[in-house]
Amino acid sequence: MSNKNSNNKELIVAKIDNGVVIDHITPPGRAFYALKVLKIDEKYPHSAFVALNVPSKKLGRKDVLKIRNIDEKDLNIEVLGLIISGSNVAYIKDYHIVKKEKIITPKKATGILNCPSSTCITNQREDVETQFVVITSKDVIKLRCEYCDIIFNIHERISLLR
Amino acid sequence: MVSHRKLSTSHIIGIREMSEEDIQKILDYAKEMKNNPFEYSERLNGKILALAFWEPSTRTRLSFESAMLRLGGRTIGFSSQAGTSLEKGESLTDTIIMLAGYSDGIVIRHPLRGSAKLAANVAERYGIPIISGGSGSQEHPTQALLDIFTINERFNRLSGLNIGLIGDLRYSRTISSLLFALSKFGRNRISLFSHPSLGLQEELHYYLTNTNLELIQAKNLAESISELDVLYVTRLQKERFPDPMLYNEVKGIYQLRTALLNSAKPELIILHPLPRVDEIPYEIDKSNHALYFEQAKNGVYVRMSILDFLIGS
Ligand SMILES: [Zn+2]
Repeated sequence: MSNKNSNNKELIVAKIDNGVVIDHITPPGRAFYALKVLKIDEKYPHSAFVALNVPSKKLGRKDVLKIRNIDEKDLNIEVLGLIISGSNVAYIKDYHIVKKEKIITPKKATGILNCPSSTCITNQREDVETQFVVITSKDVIKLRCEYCDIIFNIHERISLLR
Repeated sequence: MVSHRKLSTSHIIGIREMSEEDIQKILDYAKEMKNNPFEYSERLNGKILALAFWEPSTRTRLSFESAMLRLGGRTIGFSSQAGTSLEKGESLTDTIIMLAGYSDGIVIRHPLRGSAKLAANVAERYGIPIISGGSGSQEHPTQALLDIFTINERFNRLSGLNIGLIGDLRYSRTISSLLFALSKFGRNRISLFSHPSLGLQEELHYYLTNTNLELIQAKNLAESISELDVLYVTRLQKERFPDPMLYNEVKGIYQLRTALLNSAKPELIILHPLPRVDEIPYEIDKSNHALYFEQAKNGVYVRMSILDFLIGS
């Protein structure tokens, strides 16, 4: 009954014809954040596969996402860089990988999320784009508002993303 | 005679982002102005300073006004929301655009954090300098500059000092700016005397790590006062306390008493951004330690210096 030579991933998740595969999502559990950010839920008209806690030689445990028929323009790589930095995106057409991309943490985040502070001027009806500096240490990604100076953990404030 | 050098910044938004060189230039020029104030009485002839105060203020507004008048300029402005277009919901952005057309420089005080930075972004497009007169609980840069001017005037240095901060350290923009300022001038030891619910903002600890400031949570002023060179007192604001009973309980601990000063160094100076309520009893005013009124007066020279740097040609 040994399957040590077979591909675990394939046992768990089917190959997809068209869409994207996001692999090497760590630490495990971050796939849920990615789904939220990509607005993939039961109302999404196509299939999406989530694999959690998949053993990986290099990473220990990781998550994998496969999303059918998602449009490239709906994948905001800058936003994903705040959420699942270090993962890889493969774009699939007719079962073939047509493009690969590594998701990296951006240095700044401009206009893609709201500031969590109620006393920040950017939450007023003003002609202003929000601006955050990204501070990373290991798996923790924090943002500092360039206006009000507040510092927060992005995974604790995921709903701030627009 | 004065050599009028330029600053590397065209706005004063907060101390955190200011360079030590700019701060030093402002202090040096303020000193020259204090020594010979009348030499500068025509520096800003024909210039107009707008005072945009979304929050009430007496001291800061009058101090800026006095500074502008002493430089030969004039002021316009408003000092609360009542009776202005702000009450009708005009945005900060629109107000700044309007004032940029009416004036050569704008002082802004606003209850929200980030307000001065936004104002500077807007005014930048019109080439008009913004000077923060306080942005929410964030910063009050000109207050910090006059504070360190006063400290430097007495000690001739801004490093190697033992400084005690007492009162509301959490919601005090004055404290934030002062710590940023002191962190730029070498080693200083800061003793914090505050109720646990009114300790420093967490962000401040982040910004102040890797600086030369040594921050110590002190217990008791009576025990530590003998070590201090500077005691900086701030007002406890009743409305900041979750429970009014707690305020009444805590109030006494952070009140300065005359007897405490018996064990202080003779050169200890007491500063306060003013207005005070009952943190410092009147009898201390007569002691050599009391420097808060001189400090307030220095505010005019420091603001003159800033105005001339940013508006003068
Ligand atoms: Zn903010």
